[in-house]
Amino acid sequence: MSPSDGSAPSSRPGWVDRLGHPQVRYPLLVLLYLLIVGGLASLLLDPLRPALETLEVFTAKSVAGFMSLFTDRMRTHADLVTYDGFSVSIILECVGVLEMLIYSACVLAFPASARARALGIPLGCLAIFAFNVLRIATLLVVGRHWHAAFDFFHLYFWQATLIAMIVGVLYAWIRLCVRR
Amino acid sequence: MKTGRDESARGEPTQRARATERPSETGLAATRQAGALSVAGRLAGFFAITLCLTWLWDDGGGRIAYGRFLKTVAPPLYDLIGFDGARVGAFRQRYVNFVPFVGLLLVTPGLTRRRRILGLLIGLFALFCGHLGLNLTEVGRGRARHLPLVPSLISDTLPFVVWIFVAAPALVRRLLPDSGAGAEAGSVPASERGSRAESESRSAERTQPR
Repeated sequence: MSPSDGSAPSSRPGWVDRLGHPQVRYPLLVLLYLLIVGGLASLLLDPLRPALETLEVFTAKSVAGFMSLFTDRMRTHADLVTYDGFSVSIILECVGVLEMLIYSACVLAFPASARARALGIPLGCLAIFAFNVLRIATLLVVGRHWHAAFDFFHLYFWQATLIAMIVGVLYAWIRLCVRR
Repeated sequence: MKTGRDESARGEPTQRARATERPSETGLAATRQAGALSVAGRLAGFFAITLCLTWLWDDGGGRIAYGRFLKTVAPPLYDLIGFDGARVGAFRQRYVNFVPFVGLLLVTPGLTRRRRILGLLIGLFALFCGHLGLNLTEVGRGRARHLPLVPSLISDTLPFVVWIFVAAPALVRRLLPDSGAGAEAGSVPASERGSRAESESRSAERTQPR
């Protein structure tokens, strides 16, 4: 008679227990929240179009404002930002909204207090916006002084730094807000 | 019942142990400095790895080679799961999402070599499955063809999610020290971790799950 035939519980965790483990629960929750916030965002994309266009212009002005600290060769016109004759147009994918949505899903899925989350989402989105301004400014400098490398860095700053930015801000949030 | 001699005999080492638990301010500063250097080193490693991989993808012919591979492999797989004749967008730039995953996994501290290698293989396979799935969400025809927002978001997040899944033991122990969930196979326990400068391979060998 094997020990499992009696009342002794089996030592192998069931699939419900496995789902409750942070290793599985957190990634699944991130995907779930991403579906929710992404679904809401795609529903609101058209009604919010004017606000998003304003955000594009604001991002262009922020990049110009930041770079004006170092150079006087900056100009902006609507969503177009120009550094010494080299121009880039700021579109929706460039303003950091997608990164903010992903970051928000990561924060919502993390086991933290409502206060930490309420603080983390706006502050983290601000940090992502600041990183994004830095990213566009770097691209402008690369495009102006090293034009051949622009496409490469445009690709590099898209996926690799997207994840680095989210992981960095999330880590800072956990260290500063959650663990205190 | 304890004698006075026993008390004093026990007390002294306890005090000594407490004294060693409480590091001096110089020691704390040195630990913090070492930690900051370690973080800076890992960040530099991440950027170096991702720059190299992005170069291989973009200029080294990786994107073309992967596109050809997808063109060959995807149609029979789509047929197998009932999506006969689905279009394969083989050369999308979005497939570069393997780059941050590899970068993150290689610089994450506290993972055994076995978990790192297995995680890399499983993670890359998961991202490949993600690419197959992403293709199926394409909408529109001709020049109006595009990927909707939610699948694009999920595709961009997938490297992060897969990394969390693979590196969970080390991350849980680092970020949620009270949960106790990090003490499992695949992570290098704090008690067995030597100095940060110690090579990870040696730590991995010592803590291989049995």
